[in-house]
Amino acid sequence: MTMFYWIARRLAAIGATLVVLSFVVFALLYLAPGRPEEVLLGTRPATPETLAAIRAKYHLDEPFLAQYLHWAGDALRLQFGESIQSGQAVTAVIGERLPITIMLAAYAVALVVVVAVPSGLLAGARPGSRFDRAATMVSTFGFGAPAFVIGIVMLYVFGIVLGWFPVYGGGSDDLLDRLHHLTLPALALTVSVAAIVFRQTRAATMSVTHADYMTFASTRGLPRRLVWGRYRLRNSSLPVITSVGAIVAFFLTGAVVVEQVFSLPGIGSQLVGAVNTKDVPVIQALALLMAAFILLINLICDVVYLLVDPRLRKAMVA
Amino acid sequence: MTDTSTRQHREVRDGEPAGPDDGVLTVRDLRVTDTAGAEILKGISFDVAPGETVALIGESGSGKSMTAKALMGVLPAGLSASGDCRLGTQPLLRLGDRERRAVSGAMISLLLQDPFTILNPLTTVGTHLAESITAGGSPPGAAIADQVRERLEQVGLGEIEERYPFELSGGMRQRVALAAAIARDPAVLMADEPTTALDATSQRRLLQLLQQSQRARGMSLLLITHDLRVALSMSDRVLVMRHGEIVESGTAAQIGNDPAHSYTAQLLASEVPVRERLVQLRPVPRPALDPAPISDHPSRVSAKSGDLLRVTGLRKAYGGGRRSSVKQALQGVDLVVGEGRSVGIVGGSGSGKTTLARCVLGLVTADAGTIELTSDSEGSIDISDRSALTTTARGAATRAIQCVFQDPYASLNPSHTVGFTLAEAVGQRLRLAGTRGSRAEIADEVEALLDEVQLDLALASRQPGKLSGGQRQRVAIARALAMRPRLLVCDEPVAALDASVQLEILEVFRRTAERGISMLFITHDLAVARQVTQDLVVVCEGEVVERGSTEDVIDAPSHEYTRNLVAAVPTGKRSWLD
Amino acid sequence: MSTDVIVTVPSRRNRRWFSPLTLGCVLVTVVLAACALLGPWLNPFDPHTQDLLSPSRPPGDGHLLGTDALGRDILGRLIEGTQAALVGPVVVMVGGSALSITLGLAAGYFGGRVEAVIMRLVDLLYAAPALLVIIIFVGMVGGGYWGAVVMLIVLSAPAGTRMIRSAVLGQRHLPYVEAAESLGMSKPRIMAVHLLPNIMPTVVASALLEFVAALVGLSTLSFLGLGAPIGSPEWGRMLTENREFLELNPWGAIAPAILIVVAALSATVLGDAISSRLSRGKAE
Repeated sequence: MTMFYWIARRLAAIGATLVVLSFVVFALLYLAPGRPEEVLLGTRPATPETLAAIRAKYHLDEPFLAQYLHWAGDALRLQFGESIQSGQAVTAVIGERLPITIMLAAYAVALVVVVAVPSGLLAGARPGSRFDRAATMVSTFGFGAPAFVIGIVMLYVFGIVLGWFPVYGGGSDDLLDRLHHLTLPALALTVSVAAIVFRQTRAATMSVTHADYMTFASTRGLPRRLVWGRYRLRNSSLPVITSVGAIVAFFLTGAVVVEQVFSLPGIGSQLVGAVNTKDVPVIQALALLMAAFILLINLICDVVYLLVDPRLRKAMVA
Repeated sequence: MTDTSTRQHREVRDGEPAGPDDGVLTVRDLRVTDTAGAEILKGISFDVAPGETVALIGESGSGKSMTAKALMGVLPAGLSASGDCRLGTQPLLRLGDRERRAVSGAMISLLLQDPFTILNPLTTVGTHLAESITAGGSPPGAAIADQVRERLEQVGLGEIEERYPFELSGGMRQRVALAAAIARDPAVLMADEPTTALDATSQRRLLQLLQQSQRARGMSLLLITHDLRVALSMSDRVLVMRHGEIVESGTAAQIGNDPAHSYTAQLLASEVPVRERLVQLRPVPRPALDPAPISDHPSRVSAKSGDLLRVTGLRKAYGGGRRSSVKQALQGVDLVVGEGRSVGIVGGSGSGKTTLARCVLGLVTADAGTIELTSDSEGSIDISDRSALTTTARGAATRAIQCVFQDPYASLNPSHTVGFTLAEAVGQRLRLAGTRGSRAEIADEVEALLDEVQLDLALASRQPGKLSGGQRQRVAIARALAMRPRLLVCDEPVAALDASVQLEILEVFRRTAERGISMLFITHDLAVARQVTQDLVVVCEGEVVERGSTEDVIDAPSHEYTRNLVAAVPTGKRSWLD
Repeated sequence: MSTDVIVTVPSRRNRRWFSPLTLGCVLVTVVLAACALLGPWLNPFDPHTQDLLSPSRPPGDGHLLGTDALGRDILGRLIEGTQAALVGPVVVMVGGSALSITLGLAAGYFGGRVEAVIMRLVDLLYAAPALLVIIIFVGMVGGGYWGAVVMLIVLSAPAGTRMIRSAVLGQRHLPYVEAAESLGMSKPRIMAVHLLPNIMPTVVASALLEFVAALVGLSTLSFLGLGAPIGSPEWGRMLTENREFLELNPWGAIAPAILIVVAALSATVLGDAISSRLSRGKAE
């Protein structure tokens, strides 16, 4: 019961954060240069009639707070108005672009989990070993290389010089073709994120490697399965869980950049495009979507932490 | 491993009747080297016979822990072991991973020092025991849950299978660890300083349990300890280690009564007795520096009269926020420190004695009660809440009360030289007194302070990292004296030091007391209290249970808690654990 | 939590102060600093002269790295742009460190309500994707390159604050701090004279991490068209402008890419070396 109560409280906190964020996001309309109706009009010809129509449509003549409430009420029903650029509903515009980003992210997450986590565990278990030094070198490199640099270099080497992969776009809806198009972007995204995940995993594993309870586990002759699972993995997962939030933030940024490099029609390049064209409704929707996503991931991490660490459970009950 | 080295070593061991086959554990020419080639263990050899208790004693850095780690195959990275070490027929240093797992826990086991880090913080007590019992496959007999229950009962623990380590006291955790270590009834248990982190009462209890388990199973025990008294009362034979070598071995009686090696004699002489106040504390007197013998009559030093510090009804609770339950550290403590008196505060861990010291020092503010400090100029002021004092009064309280902490390795700022630390303290006193000293004046005073704690002037330019533990503690005392305090609060100031250094530092405290400085001496060690205090206050769970002159309290304790404390002081006699 | 520290513990081989790798990084740093300080005045390769007859030529003909789309010398422009590429990251490093040292020390030392307020704020910003926030704000509201720098300072400080706070918490209850309190020293003095020297390894590590993050971040913004102004020889901007001509002269894009990576790499390695050197000095 306490756990549900706790989760309910966390949800409430997340809701409050979202309200504050949505306020800022809504205010973007006023923070952007020019009057709001001009911003919302975009490049369409400004006549007194069109301006008045927009003022009426977005309730711009009402007080600021009332405008916000109108907007927030619509946002709750996932209605963010129309894109200034295309005139289509924002939800539709984003929904069109979302699948490719989700696929790119899933592809990269799979690669990161397969590459970075095991190598971090191995390096942290034997710090100073040849493998550790080599992997640490590579991660230092990945850490210092911006995602767009990695992307462009990969594009040049594998796309232009070797010609193995397409250099542009997301391909057709055929799954294989899509994967073919997404491989280079996913690799580029992986390299930059894997460096951070590797370092976190390695540091966490290393802090456990020298712990007394590890020594005590091995001097009792416990099976390797237990020493690695119940002892090493479980204990070193705690600090990794706490940093998942930051990794996700880093991951999102990387995805935006990589989509831009490879001209992928996902929501990342959509965000950059919307910023360049000052397409406020699209930006507002994307910003809220990303914020909600990050907050949700953080909530999941908190719950997982709670399930793993009895000390926190006890503190919570008290 | 050649015959020659074995023979050479046989000679070193000097008439000890032992052959390679009569021990369940035989260690020959064990060497541990680091990557640079330096030897941490320089070829040690010994046997442990079935059912025998052998104590391996030595001061910090002697290599005694490395011995156990090498035998278990858990040396820190960068160290490697060589030699011929056998457990029955198993070559301990040549086991592969799989063979090692078959031996560890089942035939030989290791209990580590720190109960707070030895258990997996994320799993329950029951899991620890169940995984230990079933490590080599499920054993026959009763269901695992029943076996777990039985093993816990054997170490005097009730139904705590569902509890997590963080919910248990240090003593209980160490007992869980003991039960887990011997869950598969190994032939040999090595215990590496198993009680160092425990208070006296828990120490005696754990050692009793160790002895009982050993006798019940006919298990051999290698007890690694720095405490000679514990070694003598527990073991059949004693090995004395120094700088990675065994310098002497013999029966407990031999070692205790007639040590052959000068180092063993020196160790014996550094033991602080609880039954008497030594006239001369330093084991090897330094005639040039020693003034007249120190008085055995404490009353003579307290020439002044009146109370310096009066603590009334002091209460302090910790926690109580949304996240933790309230813990009562002090529940109405009364205390008086007379001008020029040395008052000892003794009690087990969690008794509240350190909280008391921190309240007096103004590091924490008490919830209720008063701490009155009698000052020459202003009469008596309540200093229990320092933030409520005027700047002048706070300065006066700061100057009057100074402290010396337990850990000499952390009580000096590692970034600053000794000279800087002392000069800063002198400058601070002058600032609080509203004056300023010239550079030369401060330098002179630093010199005088170093002289007072008998440190070489050359140390002033060194950083603490280059000093020994004893030297650091002297610097810490000098820093406190720089304020010319009237009361010195000492929180376990010798607990982290080797026995030989303990005596030197206690001597410095006696000199300090001789100069008329009052002392509030927090310690868990009654023997130490005996040497430096005149009055004793016994605290238990935040309350004073007994007070009186040091002799009376120790020699004729009236409260049960005090009696237990006194009984828990290791005597070095075999009867101690009965 | 303590594990936010993603400082690499030096492997056994480069524990020596003057390992070849460290030495190489020192050299790179010196050369880059020289280019940044002197480049605009003492550039051996003319970065400005356009030669519209030989656009995007591969290396040769007096141009060591070839020319860009306007026929300007790539190497000369790289040297010219060093200052533009590094000044922002250096400002972020200094500003971000000052902010995170102040907040980290205050949170770790004072504890209680001060800590609660600071850490609540820090945790909120810590999970924010800094670059995306900057893209939206600078893109929508304006502020340009220096606006981005200021936002980076604010958004990169939380990571440093967390590192420094946990380092302070490691020292906070050590007896030497309590001894200083018992001597009645003022809180600012305890923080500056007693705590700060002992957390220097963490301070250096976090400062260099902020530098790397800013270098990467600002060049990414340039790539997205939001950082350095169009036409500036800042590396990220050069990379973006020349990437359309990868097939004609790959060096126009690859060379600035290499420089960004090498600068970031050197800063990371140097940070590790200095911070492990400092902490070993303490341990001795």
